[in-house]
Amino acid sequence: MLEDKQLIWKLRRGNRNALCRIYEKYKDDLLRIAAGLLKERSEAEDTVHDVFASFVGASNNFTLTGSLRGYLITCVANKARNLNRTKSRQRKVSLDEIEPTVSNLKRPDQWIIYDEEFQRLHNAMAQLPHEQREAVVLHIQGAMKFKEIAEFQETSVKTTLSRYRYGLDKLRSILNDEVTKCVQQKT
Amino acid sequence: MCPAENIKKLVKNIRIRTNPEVNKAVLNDLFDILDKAESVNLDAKQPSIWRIIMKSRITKLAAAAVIIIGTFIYLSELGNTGGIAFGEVLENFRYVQTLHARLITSEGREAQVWAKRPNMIRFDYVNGTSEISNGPTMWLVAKGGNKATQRSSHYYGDAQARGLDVVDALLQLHLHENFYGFMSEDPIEQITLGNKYFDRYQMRTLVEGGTVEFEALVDADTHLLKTIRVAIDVEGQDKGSFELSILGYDEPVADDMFEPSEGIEIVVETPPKSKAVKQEGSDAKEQAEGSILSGRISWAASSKPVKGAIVTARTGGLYRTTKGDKFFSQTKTNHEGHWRISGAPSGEIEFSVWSWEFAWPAMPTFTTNVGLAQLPKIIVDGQGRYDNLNFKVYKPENLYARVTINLMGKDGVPVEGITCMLVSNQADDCYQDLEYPRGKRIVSGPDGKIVSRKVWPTNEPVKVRLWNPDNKESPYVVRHIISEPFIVKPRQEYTFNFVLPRHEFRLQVVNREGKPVQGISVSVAVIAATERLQWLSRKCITDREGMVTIMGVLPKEEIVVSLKRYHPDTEEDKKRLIASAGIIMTAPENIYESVSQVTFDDRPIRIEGKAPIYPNTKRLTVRGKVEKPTRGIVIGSTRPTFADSEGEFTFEGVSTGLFKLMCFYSNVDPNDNEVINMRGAVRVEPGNIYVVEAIDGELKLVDCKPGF
Repeated sequence: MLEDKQLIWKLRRGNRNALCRIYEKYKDDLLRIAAGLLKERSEAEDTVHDVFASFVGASNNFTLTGSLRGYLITCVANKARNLNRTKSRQRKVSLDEIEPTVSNLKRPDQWIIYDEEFQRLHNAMAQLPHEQREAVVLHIQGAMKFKEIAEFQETSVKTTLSRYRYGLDKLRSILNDEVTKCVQQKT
Repeated sequence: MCPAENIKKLVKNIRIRTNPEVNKAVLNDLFDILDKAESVNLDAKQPSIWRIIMKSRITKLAAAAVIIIGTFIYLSELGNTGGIAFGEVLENFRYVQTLHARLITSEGREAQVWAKRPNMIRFDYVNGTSEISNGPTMWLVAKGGNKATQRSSHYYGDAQARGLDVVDALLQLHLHENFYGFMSEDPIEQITLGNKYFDRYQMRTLVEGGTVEFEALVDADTHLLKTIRVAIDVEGQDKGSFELSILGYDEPVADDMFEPSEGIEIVVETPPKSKAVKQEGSDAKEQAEGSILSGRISWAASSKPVKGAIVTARTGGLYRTTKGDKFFSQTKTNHEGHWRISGAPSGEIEFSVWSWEFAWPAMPTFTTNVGLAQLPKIIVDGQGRYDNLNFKVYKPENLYARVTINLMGKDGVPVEGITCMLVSNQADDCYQDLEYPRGKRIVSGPDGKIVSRKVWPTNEPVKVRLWNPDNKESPYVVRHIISEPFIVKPRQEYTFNFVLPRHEFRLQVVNREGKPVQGISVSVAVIAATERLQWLSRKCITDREGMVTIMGVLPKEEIVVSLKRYHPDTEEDKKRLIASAGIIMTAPENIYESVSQVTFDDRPIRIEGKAPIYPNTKRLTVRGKVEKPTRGIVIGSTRPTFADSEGEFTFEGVSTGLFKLMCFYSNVDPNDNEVINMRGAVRVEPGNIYVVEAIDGELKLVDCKPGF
């Protein structure tokens, strides 16, 4: 906590080392959470990039009241939710209305390297409804309390608990089905 | 099937790999953004600051500092990298003659300081002023650097009062309070900032209603203090933080730097005579009227006197200062360790002792204890003399005691997951946690052992208290198990062996005919006077004889027993509640020998109702609950039910009592007076179906029929 405050204080004074430290400290967590919340890998990467970029850009006016990790996770979850909402709206737009866009990203390759286990889990997570995915990812990977998730989702704690439980059950059945299929294929 | 716990582990433990090239690219993106933000920031600030600095002699100092820091770091690369005790870090600081530092106060004001014992220049970035403290004289240089006011130096005065000079006094960060505890003897971790290694020392101290965290970063090569920081948190609110960062040590600083520049206009400020006379008079009066306190400070180990320790006497409390009618006085011990303070008003006076030699603030042993919460106190009459107020102080290595606790069950198997703390013998108040050095709460491991190596000595008897109310998986629900009282003495080892009782409370559920009922879900909670219900067990299912065993209930304890019957054919996760009841009872005295019995009329209660549906509202939600007349305990489900398109709704599994109903319409226009969120109440008994309807803006009972 104190270290984070110190890092932010240094960041506000333009200290690159402080930025490196914050980036290295939270990069993996944020990418993992973003990948859990979003179906597309590129969207997850962009979300984390945008969150870091906004955080650094606004660091002069930033005051840390809670934990920095919690703040960044909430930013990622918010962005992921916005992205999901935008996507659901975009489905209604006809292709003719979409203007061509040019990506200004310099990054050549993909940021997250999916191994087999990660890919399997990611595919299973993608099949969950967004609310359940949020509850599972934010609780297990983000270490957020159910009360905090309930506030974030603007629901009761009981609803969040149900979402979490249903999410886990569904995840279990999806992953078990996969195992069964694999076993059947092998035999 | 793969259990849910494994899925949880899989999600939690999944590791991510990232492309290092992309990592670098993203970081470069962020550096660009940081540079842009920084340049905007500098553009806004630079003209005024730069103009002020260029007119000041500080500019020369700053330039020198950059060169010296570079050389210093280069030379120190050959130094060792092992962490040292924090006392040695402070010892090193005493030999520093000059330093350049940045100070952040609680209001977030930033200042830069150049100091050379016993003088100091402090430049305030916010208002552009600088203070030059030269011995007892100070010049306050106004913004722009053309005018200065000469007055007596409060930095020098404050430092002198504490037996320090201005450089040492900087480490106190202008805190009005002394806080008690030791900085961690050794660094708790080593961190890297840039390409340099720093040892991190930490201290967390409890104060009234909050905590104070001290943190120090020490250069791992030079063992010189880099940063010291204090964060005060009271009742969950940030009450400010202070920080001192050393930018450079032992830079060459000319003495004439601590004088105002030539050609500057100086106004000499003289204190008003009348005020001065009044102050002297009041001091003299106070001294004549107040009590005189005196004593001696000595080392506990050798009884040798402690020279130069600062003794503070004051009326107690956090954030109380010398302002107002509060008493606050400090003095320094002489070569024989003696001290004397006069002018103490009648009332309770609190003492503290502090010296560099104690590492960080000292722990006095006096009338009460040396724990975290309480300071030594004495009640004085405001007139007499109070001699022999002697304090013994310890060095950390001579202070801590060691406590080992072995926990096992009656079968001799070690018990894991039990938490321990020391409590006062007089009351069961929290005294000190048996903690890991890093501040994590300590629990017994798989071997049933708890070993705490850093336990504060006490002057009053304390007890070891065990508990694990949160660990529902443990077979031992340990509550209120305590040791015999004992006094913790410095550097002693204490071992306790506990054989934990299982505290099994056997409860039989019978129906209204007195026959045992199988398959009832039983949960038991303790009714605490002020806290929420503390659940000891949840959802134990009665066997054929209607029996359940609950762990952790104490004799004569007031408990609430929640009884629920679910529909047997529904799925595990979607259980349909048929009947419920909440019974408040007092546990019998011979609780572990006898079987307690509760009667549960498990015939269902159903409430059927109808409320009006308005065209503009989206959905009607009806909430219902039974509230017990005592303690406001709610029994049974408060889960809302949704009315159908006709406005009809049903509640099942309601418990006996006064069932209160409330309607909520979503999407209601606030100006729409037609929509009424109706309420109603029905007294319900088992085995009946109750029908309610909306009559005159209320939900009223219209029919009651036996249904089961």
